[in-house]
Amino acid sequence: MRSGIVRQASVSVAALVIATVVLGFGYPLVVTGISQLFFRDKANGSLVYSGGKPVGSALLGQSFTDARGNPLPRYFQPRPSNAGAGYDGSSSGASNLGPSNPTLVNEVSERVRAYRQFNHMAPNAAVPVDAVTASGSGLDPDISLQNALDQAPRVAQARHRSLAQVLAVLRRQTTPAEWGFLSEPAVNVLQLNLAIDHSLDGLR
Amino acid sequence: MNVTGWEQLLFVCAVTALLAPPLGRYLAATFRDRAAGDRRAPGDRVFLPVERLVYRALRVDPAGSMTWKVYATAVVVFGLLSTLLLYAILRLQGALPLNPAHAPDMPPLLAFNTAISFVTGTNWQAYEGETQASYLADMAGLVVAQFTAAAVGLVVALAVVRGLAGRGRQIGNFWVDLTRAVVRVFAPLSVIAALVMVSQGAVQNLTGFRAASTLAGGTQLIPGGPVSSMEAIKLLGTNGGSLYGTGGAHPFENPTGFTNMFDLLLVIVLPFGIIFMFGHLIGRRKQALAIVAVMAAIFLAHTAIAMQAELHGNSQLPASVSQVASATSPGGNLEGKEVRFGPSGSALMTVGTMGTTAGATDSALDSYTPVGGTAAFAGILLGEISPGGDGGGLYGILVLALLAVFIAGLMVGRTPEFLGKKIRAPQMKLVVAYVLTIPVTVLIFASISLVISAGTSPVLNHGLHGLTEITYAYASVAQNNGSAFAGLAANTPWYDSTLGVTMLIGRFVPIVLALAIAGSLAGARVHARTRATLDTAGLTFAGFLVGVIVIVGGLIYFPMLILGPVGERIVG
Repeated sequence: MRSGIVRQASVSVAALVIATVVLGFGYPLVVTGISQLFFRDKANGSLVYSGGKPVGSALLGQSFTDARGNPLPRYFQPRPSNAGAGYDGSSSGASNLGPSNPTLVNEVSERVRAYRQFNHMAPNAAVPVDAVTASGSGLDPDISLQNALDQAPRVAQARHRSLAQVLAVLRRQTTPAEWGFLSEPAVNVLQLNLAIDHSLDGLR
Repeated sequence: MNVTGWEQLLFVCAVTALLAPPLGRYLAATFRDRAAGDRRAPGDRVFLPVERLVYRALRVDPAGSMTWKVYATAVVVFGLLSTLLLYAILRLQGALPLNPAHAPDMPPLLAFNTAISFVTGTNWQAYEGETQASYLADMAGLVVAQFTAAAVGLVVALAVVRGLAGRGRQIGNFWVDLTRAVVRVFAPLSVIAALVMVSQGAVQNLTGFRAASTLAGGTQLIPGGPVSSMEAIKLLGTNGGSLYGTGGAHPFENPTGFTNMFDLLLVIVLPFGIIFMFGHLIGRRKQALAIVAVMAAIFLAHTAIAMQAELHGNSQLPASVSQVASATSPGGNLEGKEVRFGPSGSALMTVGTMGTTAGATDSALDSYTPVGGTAAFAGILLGEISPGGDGGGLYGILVLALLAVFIAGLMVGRTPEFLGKKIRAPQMKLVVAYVLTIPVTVLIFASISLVISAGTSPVLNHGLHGLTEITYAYASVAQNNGSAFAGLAANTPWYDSTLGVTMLIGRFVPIVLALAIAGSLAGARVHARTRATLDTAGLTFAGFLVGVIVIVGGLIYFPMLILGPVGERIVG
């Protein structure tokens, strides 16, 4: 073909214009339109409302700490997070610490100590791994059932309720494995804490 | 491995086995050489008018066919102009609309790296997804590149197959192939996939960040964005780049266990389907099955090993941490992993995509155990053929098959033949150049990085693990995979520029060489099969091919693997 490069370049330019219009604007806008029409709530982030105001997303973890960053005993606590200063929705992130990195090993040991102390556990009690490791997104909304069970006595005590009352709410808030095997059973921390606020303290 | 992991792996294999063969038939009907007869393709009524419109706008004669040189010129010129356009968008995004998070213009070197990264299908992301790219750059820049990169991979494979198996000198028309690949494969499938994701909770809006008042009295920024539309083509196109920094780990992109497996299937079904397409196009389905067997064996090996390793946990953590899986805890090495996916589900999705060029991850590879991380690395080092990228997997394994028949031919003292065509010195020179291009590039750049401070100071995990971080980066981008041991803070002048160059080499040099091999065989005489012809469709050859792949990939990188992950496993 004569003047191959020039000819291919001119076709390329035309192709890029078409692709930008059709695939760059048409495609995402069509998908956005259909999504907003049929899956409005999900397409907008599965926001959870309380008293008419958004308190978070059912899919994102959030911090349950006081103004100084100390964990609030009356709330179930999520996993450690590396998203910004913790559960920062604008900066998802992982620790990226290698398995043999001393920083990771020290951090985990410190978290084990703090977790036992915070939950009034025996000094040699086993701690569930999800409670002392950070997730890949830093926004993991879930904790393991074991993690929730270990925190339940502390939450009950902080709220002056019986352990049985807290466990009853926890049982209702445990998500079983999807299709029995597609996911791990888990507890959504925000949903659990909302349910606890609602049913134990009659808030809102 | 616990039962859940095996069930998930079985599920993925079953769905792939169910969907890939019919998809291959559809692709073959779509891309069959229509000059051979008046064959109609499925969906002509809808697609043909659209395609005619495109051909008219492009001023392309759909009946025209190209030699390999013209085809390769079109691929390279289109790639370079795409890169320029994307670079311009990224540099100017601050002044362009659809930028609710006020992402500033991308700095020159980062834009250079990112533009090349997406045009080559690598999707290495040195920028922060949430804050450093506008929605316009995501949609009109990155997504467009994801479509074209996927389509280019597929059409190059088609051209290579036509050269290897066809009878003429011409190997098709790049523009016609590209148009049909987008119109009939990637665009419709992406719309469906994106909507499935949204129905599960993945986000799709243009609103930017919204503030929520948390229960504890703080404020949380809830991100938004055209996430699902990007995710669909990211996976279907074996690209790998997400709107958010943490990709498939982010709950707004991969909200449930179902989407996790759906994501993996989107990545691997099409590359397997393309192999079945190959079988139909050359009229030898057994040949395709042999290749599928090779790919599946490697896929299963590295994925299952990683799942097992991650479930077993991190031996460095204190004994007080319970890493045993039970009814109430997923257990395992959960650093960098989400509870809903668990250790084996995370490893299945992440390592499962490593043998494709997607490198889509739902967990932090840097925090994988040495064995799990090596299994992920293996998918890349073995040349991205388990099952490989869209199209790239096919032409990649065809080149390796040529190498295998050559070695087998030497062993039995016969002129090697593949698909009835004799493989001689000119082809073998190109094959060896193809096989060596990527390792040589990777090892040179990685070695330099190890001895200069610009290379070593961005490393997060020092010691043996740091060696893995650096070599993984170059190997990943050279194979256009794009996943990262993300502890490496790679947005530095040294890494932005050298990784960018590595991606260009890793993409275009192999494509041109593969097309050259195809071109040198196009029109060559097809010999009838005799009893002395080496059977390339049997299990013996499949096993031999696995051996060649492992030896080529393994030996080239062996010293690095010993000093990196193997050393870390032993010392740590």
